Amino acid sequence: MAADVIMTARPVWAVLISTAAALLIMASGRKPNLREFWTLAAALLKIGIVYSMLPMILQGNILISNPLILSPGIELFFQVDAAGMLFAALASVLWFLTSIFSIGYMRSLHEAHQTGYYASFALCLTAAMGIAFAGNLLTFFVFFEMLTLATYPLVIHERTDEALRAGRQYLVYTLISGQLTLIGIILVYQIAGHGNFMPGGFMSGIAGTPALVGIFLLLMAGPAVKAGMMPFHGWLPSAMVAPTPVSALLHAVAVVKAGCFGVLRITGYVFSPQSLQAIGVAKPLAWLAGATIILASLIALTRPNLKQRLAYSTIGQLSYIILGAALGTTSALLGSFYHLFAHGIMKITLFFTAGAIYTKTHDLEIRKLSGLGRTMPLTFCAYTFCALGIAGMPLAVGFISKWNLLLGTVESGQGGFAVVLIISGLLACAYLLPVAYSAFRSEVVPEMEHIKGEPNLWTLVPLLATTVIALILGIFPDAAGHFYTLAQMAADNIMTGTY
Amino acid sequence: MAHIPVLVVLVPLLTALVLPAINQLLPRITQAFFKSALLANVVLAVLAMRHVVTEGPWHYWLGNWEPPYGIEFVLDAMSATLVLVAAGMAFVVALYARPFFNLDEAGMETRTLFYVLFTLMTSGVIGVAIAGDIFTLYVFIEIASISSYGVVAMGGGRAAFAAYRYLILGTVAATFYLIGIGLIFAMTGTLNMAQLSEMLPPLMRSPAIIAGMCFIILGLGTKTAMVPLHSWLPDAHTYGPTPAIAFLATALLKAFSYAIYRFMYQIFGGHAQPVTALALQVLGGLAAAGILYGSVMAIAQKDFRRMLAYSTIAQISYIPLGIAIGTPAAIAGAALQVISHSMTKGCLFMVKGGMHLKLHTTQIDDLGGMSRSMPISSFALTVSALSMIGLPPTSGFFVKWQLLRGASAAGLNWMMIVLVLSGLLNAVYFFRILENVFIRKPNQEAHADEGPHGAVLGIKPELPLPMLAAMLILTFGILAVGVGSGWLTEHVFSLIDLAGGGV
Amino acid sequence: MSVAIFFSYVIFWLIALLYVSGFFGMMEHNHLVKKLMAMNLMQTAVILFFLLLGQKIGGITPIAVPGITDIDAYANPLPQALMLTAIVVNLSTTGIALTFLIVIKKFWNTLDESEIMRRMDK
Repeated sequence: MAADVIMTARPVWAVLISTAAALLIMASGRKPNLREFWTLAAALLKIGIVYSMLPMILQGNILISNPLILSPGIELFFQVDAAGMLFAALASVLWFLTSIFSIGYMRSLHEAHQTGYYASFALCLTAAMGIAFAGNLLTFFVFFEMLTLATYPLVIHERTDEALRAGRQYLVYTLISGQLTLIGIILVYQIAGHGNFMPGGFMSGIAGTPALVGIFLLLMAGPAVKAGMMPFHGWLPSAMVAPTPVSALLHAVAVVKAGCFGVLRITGYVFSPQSLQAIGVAKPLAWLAGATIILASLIALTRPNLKQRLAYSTIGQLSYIILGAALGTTSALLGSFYHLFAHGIMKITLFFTAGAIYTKTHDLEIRKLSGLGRTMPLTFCAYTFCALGIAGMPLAVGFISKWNLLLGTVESGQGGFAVVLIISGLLACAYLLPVAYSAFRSEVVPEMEHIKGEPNLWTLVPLLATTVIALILGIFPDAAGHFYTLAQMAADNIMTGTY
Repeated sequence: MAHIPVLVVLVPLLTALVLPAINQLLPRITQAFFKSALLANVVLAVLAMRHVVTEGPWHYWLGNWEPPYGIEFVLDAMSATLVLVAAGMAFVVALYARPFFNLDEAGMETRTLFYVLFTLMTSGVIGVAIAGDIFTLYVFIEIASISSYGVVAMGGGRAAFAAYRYLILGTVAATFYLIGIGLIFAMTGTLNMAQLSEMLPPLMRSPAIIAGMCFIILGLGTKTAMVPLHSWLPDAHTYGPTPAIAFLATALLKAFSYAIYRFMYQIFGGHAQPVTALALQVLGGLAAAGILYGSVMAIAQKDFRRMLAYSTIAQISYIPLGIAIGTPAAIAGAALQVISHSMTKGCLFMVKGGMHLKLHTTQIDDLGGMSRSMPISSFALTVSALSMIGLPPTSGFFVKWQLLRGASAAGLNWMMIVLVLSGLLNAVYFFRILENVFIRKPNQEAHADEGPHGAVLGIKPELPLPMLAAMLILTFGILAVGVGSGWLTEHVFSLIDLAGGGV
Repeated sequence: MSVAIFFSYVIFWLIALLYVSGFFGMMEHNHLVKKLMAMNLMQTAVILFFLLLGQKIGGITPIAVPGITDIDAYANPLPQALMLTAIVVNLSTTGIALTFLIVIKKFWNTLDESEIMRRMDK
């Protein structure tokens, strides 16, 4: 499949639109309605721009923006390919929904510092979009660090000592790992002379194995930390002190997905699955990911707080993507890419439901949520459906990615990991479904008896929307945005080494 | 046009000379005269830079006397950069200085004295940048240094003592430098840099030249405050008046580190000479030590002023580090750091001055609530802190990027680790401040007061407008240089000649 | 002749001695004025060093004398010219240092370095 290169400035606009929104939001801090209007308008525009590039991508083209040359051989530029498109579409759609949800959530809880909140949020999206469209490692790194900075104010939003501690921990993890990645990037530029992402990579065989292993580990440091891979996941549960829409953003869209996307970029577009096997890092990576999946699920079982449980569930689920990247077969990569999207949709629904429940209960301890399913049936139905989706039930979108990952384990001849995936699915049922069961079946605890009715519409509509998306895509995986085709294209690109 | 190289030195020098007279005769226009002279100098510097970029290095013979008999001024890519930085910083600081001294309730004479010393210092720094022979260089170094002793001492009793120690060490450094010149002069019989670069290579093994080189590095190293010769800096930069330090920590220190570059590459032949290469290695080691020492000491400080002083020791060492690495990318990084650090540290010192005036404290723990009372300063503080840490898209990141590239090309992996570590240490102390500024509640005893100036200005900006303007110019400069670093690298820094004898 | 060469070395050593004694004086003394004097000693040593560089055995003052056209008959004028500048620099340094001393004396009421250092930390 020979690709045409189309020069266009659209990726630049897609990235910058939310920066402009951030400035407008800051400027209109005194008028909440105008401020929220900017957020929503920018989100819609962003979706429009991203989707306008979709047909060209589906025809097998790639889009490149004019580079900003920093010095000969070192340039910042955007390049849209199937993989980037997938992540960008996910991020832009979920930004819109999260914004609507945020408005309902923040207003019903009367949170302080909302202007800074929405501005940081918009900046996060700029960073995420930049990561999606980055054409080389330098561009990738610039936006990767920007993401760290833009999410820091969100993590410490509550301004409590606990939030500050979490913020500091977050910075320690991400900045240190980011600097290690920077060293890796410098070495790549030194050895290869450039850092432009290419399907199938450009690092195979151009240096000795020890050097390549070292570079791979350095490069992976930043993305692995952001993706919450064990043993570097410590920041993620602590960051749960942030407001729920932030957790939704952190866990479903921007940060962790950017980490996973970074892992895929590095394993597929800097190195290649074959070369990773050749230098012997694919197996350890797969084992680490497998261990993370099981361990995180087990820890999730022990957490009494719904948000904490979802946090550990995220850690486990994200390692599916890393596992797929490590297995390195077409199906596994397809599963990984699709899981990027599928998990985003499902996990954001779960966080939305958690947030919606919180606006009513002001508490997320699982024990206290029993019986609430009868007062908030829609919310808990959405929760149940996506919990099942996370576990891998057919008809929900999670099944599509898990199925492909399972195929991948078999294809790569490492069927043992199939067992890991199945156990993980069972564990997911074990830690997510009891909440739903007790919500519908058990008695309401005394202090929650005053709660009546569903959460307000601003919070309810987005979570129902994501649920419907998860359902539709579970049945027709290629509906709406051709995400399945995109994932397929990305996997093919990596395996064949051409666009 | 043809006399720009001498004009960029003469304009501030003459301004310094006539300012006292103007202050006596027409006190009303002192301000305007001072600022317009510095603005004119910025224009000259820009023209000089344009000439260098379009037509290459510019050799100017004073009075049309051919070297070695006459005095030669040389403008090449590196020196034009420094001239531009010095002229630009001088103007921005001048904007900042007037309201600062007004608020500081300094008398008219104090202010004029400051203007005189400040313009003298500017002319000294620019002179260092363009001097084409090593004795002229000495003269300009001393013009810059002596006026800097003066401005530091204007900060009061503690500052006078700090300035006195600075003076003693600075003068000793100057004698070191003179001895070095003497030894080289004794061996070659010339002082012109271009001639020296031709005559020195066969003599590089002679003990006199090696001793001369050591003396010169010692002298310039002390003035640049390289570890372990930095002991004068923290006190002087803590107690000196803010506008003075905003220039001292930026343009002045750059001028001395630039002189080191001039000697190592354009006189002693750079890495091509084994002896010089060894000296550069030592220099690199000292610079790395300085980076780590300065950063660690900065973390230990409770006073923002002192923290900035130690951070200066660390950041200024980036330039010798780049010089020591010596690959084109690293030199470009060092040149970029000249610009980047000037703007960043200048901005930070200006924010510090604002804190001092408005909050009456610079203790880091007392900065709670500053983002409310001083939002614009807090914004400037944030951007410059990010640049210090070296996070994109600020200029600091691209400095680090270039230096890392250079170190990796030279195979100096340990320097890469030092650079990265330095960024992380910077993150520790700057995020601590940002946390205080943005998140902590104001302390009960230390609260911002409106002050007499607020009432006068009607709309009550957080600080007088020129001060804010100066800060914002630098803040946006940091971002612009970050984005424009590619243009600079391609069109300016690529002209830097490392082959030796580039003069 | 060889005696002259011997003495020309000796004088270098004497200048070095002067310089080093100034250096040690500066290190040793706690009194700020004495430090200044020691600093002046160092500066003077450097000036002498430069003047010696321009000196030639038998060379006369570098002012053109009718009839003497041989360059070697004159001392090198360049170092002398340079040192005129250096002396001006030294003068201004000393002057500024003395004004500092006045300010310091007024503010701290002492000129003892370690005493001031101790009070500075408070």
